[in-house]
Amino acid sequence: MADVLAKLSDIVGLVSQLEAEDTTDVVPMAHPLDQTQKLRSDQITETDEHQLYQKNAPLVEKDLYLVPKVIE
Amino acid sequence: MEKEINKKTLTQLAKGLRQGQFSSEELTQYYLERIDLFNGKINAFITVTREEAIQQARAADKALAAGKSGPLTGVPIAHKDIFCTRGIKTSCGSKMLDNFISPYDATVVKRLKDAGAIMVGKTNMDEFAMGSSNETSFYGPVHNPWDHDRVPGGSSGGSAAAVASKLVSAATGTDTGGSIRQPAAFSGVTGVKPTYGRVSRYGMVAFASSLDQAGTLTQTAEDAALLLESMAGFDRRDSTSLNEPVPAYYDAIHEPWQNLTIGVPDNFFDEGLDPDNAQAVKDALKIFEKLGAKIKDVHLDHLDLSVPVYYVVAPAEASSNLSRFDGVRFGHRSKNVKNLNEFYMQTRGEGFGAEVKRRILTGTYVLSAGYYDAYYLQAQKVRKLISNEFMRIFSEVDLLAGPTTPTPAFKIGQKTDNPVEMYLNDIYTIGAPLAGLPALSVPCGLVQGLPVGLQLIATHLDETRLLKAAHYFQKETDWHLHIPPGYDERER
Repeated sequence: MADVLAKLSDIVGLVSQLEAEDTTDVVPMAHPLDQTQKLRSDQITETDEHQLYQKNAPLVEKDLYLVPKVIE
Repeated sequence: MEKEINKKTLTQLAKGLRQGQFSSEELTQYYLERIDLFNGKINAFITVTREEAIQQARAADKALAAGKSGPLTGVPIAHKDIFCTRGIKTSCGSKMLDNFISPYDATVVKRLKDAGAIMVGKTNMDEFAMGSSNETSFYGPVHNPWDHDRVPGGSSGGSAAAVASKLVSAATGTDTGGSIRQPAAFSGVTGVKPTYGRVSRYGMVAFASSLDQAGTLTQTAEDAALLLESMAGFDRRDSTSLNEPVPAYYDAIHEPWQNLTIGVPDNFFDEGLDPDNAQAVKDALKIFEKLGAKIKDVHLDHLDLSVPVYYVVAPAEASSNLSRFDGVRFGHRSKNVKNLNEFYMQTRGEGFGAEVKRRILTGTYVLSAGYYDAYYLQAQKVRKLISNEFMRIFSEVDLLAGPTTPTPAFKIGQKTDNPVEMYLNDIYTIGAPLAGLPALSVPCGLVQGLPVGLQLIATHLDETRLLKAAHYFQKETDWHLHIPPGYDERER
């Protein structure tokens, strides 16, 4: 645990170098090429393939993914 | 089957197939045999797709015979195990996805398949592409074919080592902070990271979505042009993919040389750079001068801050992206848990390795309420300054050139105890992805028997100029033709 903390502290130390830079009036980067999010037409392009996708699921019952009981 | 196939480039193999010098099945069999012979030494592959490859090769031979071939018909290639491949394990180098059989193909995989390429396997990589040495893979480290005690670089280390040792003529890779260019330099191959959005990220397991970009690891720039032409282009399934036409890279790089101005950042040559590595890069710049290029000194004011910016932005995005691995719908699931909390904790605790955990913790820390402005927002502001600086410099120069890495490949285990030292090794490669710029690395020398790379960076969507400069450099030099000792002749 001490080793984990030491390594994380080193990383925080590295990224803390950023504090010294004056960024007054700098607009944070939103996209490397200044592109905005594209909108696409509201049309169905994908079909339901849940049975294919659920082949990778560890535990499925009646097409539902199972997890340990949440409410006792 | 003629001799020394291993010395042929992807371009030569594609041509040889079209001219009927050999069949795709012969070629595929040849590379599968080389994988059998050598992969035990370097651990470059996680999965070898023998049967599928032979099947595809037979289909390619039929297409070739019928005159229905594409640009890459019948050529064996490998994919980094970060790309989803339908019906084939896609592990991303992690225990978390050790049992994951992808239900679909990544766009890159599909496009290369459509162009006729044969997949012979999936290459080893740092877990979730987080690493610069390929030592964080769940499947064990990849060994550098030039010196088995050394790292091949990372995270696309398996792809780089496989191409360097001629287990395959070309491979795909991904680059977030240098993950194509750094292993290309360490392994002595050509590595190309295109402009952000040039190649679709659909089906590429996400690490840091504002930085991730797919590219190529090949022997030559010509090979990269050929491969990239088939990979690049708009994809409606990736909302960040650029809707810009794809130039005919291969034809364009063979056009006559046009003079250019190459900027060389003076602070790329500070005391952190190995003197012999520096000399190799300076010698490479003389080649460009001989070709008629004008060399201009430039300075990157924010170079030192690029590593801290990256190690805020990338882990922040990773911590969000990796939240999907919870053991519910796919991937590793912990057994014998009592409740849902334990289920998540143990699943993620068991499924992720130490470096991935470090990045998730760093990412959640820099995004947390009290620290968001000081770290994440500040990093995105400094990132903007870095990007503005590149844009200003590209108004004065056509390309930037410098070393790809500070040193040749280091020893396995040398930096694993010191993550920050490992991170600082990325200093020269991190800037380009932060600004979304295309960049590449070409072999430019051997330092104590180990390859080193020359890095070239271009402005957005200027891959043609980048590849053309690299191609002309490779016409003047033979560093890209060197084969690691022991991998030269085919051992029968």
